[in-house]
Amino acid sequence: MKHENHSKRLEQRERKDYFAIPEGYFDELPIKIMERLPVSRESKAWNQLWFWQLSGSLFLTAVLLIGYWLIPTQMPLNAESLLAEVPREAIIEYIQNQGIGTDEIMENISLEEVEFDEVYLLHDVGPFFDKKNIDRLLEQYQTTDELLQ
Amino acid sequence: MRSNYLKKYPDSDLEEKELIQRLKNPESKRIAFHSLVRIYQRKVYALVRKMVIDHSEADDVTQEVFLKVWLHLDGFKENSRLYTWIYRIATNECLAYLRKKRIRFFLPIGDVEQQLITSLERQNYISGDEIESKLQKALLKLPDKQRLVFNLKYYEDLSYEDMAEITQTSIGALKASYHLAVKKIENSLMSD
Repeated sequence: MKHENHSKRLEQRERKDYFAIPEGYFDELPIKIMERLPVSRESKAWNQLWFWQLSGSLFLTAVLLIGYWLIPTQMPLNAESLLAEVPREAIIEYIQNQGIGTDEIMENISLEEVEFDEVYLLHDVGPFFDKKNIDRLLEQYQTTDELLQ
Repeated sequence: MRSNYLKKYPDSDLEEKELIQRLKNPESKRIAFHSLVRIYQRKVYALVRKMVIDHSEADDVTQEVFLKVWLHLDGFKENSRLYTWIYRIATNECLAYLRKKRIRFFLPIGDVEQQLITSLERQNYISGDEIESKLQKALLKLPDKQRLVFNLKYYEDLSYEDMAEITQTSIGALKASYHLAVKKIENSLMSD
């Protein structure tokens, strides 16, 4: 009976919020909790897939770069090498078709660097390169005809 | 008066079933969980605060409760209600926290009570009611589990059926525990 009275007295009391809570606490709490959530398995799996894809791409790039540097290339890389592969007849035909004059050719040739075969090539260019013209050119460029012997 | 507010969501139009469906769907899980936190944060915090008293400790424990809810969502069986499941996690977390606190500082039960009372006296209160203050101090003299039962019944207004589901205790044991707690509190209030 006494026990029931105790219960009644407590039950009759108005239940109040006793503890004060900092202002805005319940606005911030969901944000704090969401920030602490672990990364989902799906995201983790995606991250792993992304990691392996990137690793694979980087490995392939590295292999290609190493191969490029280490394997000696057979490709000619400068204009002289490329030109050396063109048949002489084709070069003569090209020069004739382009209407390039002898003077123009000679202006662009350094005779000091020209070897015999290259000077001799001039004999095939056309009727202009007869003995007389060659002598004149040799005189003009102050060289001897030893190269033409 | 029964706690109807727990069966519906006071801050949302979402029904519990719809919320659970969204929580089970990986695409909507995070958004639904955010809704869940907003719906239950005040109730969980209030329950935890009454147990640990200090705000910063209550904040930590409340966050842990929701993290555990998130981690165990896949294991949630729909044969129990969402709010009783969340309350169960919250009550377990509170009791575990107080138990760890004792172990960590090698505190005897009496010292923990005194620490909680000291913490209670340091708090800022909304209510300046002297009797309410005495009631809170009297509550702290109860064993943790009995205090929890009292809080669930007296402040949260839960039914014994729900309390039995939350605490995994028989209804008879809960009734006995509550009435014993009331008696102790009344005696404490009268003796002061």
